[in-house]
Amino acid sequence: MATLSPGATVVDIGCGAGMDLMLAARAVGPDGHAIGIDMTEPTVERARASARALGFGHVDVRPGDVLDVPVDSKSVDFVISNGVLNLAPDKRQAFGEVFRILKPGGQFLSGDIIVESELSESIRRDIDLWTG
Amino acid sequence: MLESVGFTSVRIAEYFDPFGGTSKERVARKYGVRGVNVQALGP
Repeated sequence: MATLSPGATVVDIGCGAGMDLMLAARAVGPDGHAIGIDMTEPTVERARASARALGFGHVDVRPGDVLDVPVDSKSVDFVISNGVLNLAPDKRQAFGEVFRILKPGGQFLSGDIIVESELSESIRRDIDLWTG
Repeated sequence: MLESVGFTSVRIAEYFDPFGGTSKERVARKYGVRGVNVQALGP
């Protein structure tokens, strides 16, 4: 697997305030394109503000949902996501969206949490297990 | 699941402990919650 390369197009799904997006933008450089997707307007605005503060004209932050990613099909070299896809209500659709927007040979790089076995319905519905 | 939507060369590059040292460490251990860095090739 390659790392993010200069000139590449990268999408960060669930970019939040943009920390990983800015690192990706630095990696692909001004000849590349870094697109952040987040579902809340305040975080979209924060990520845009970070890009402006860093002078990153090649960063584009869009409001959107992981189940309907506002990016053209087969248009990006890398999709990254950090701690977001586990929250998707339909993970198959979310992964399908990632697959749809990747160019042939494109790469998906994700850091997230998993459970090693199927959890019972009673465990899934226990709110005390969901909260910190 | 990644392979079922078309990804190939799916691999877990690294495991990490996302809840170590937090108030949910015991629960995470009990239910097998782990952090993973995953890489996969698209179409």
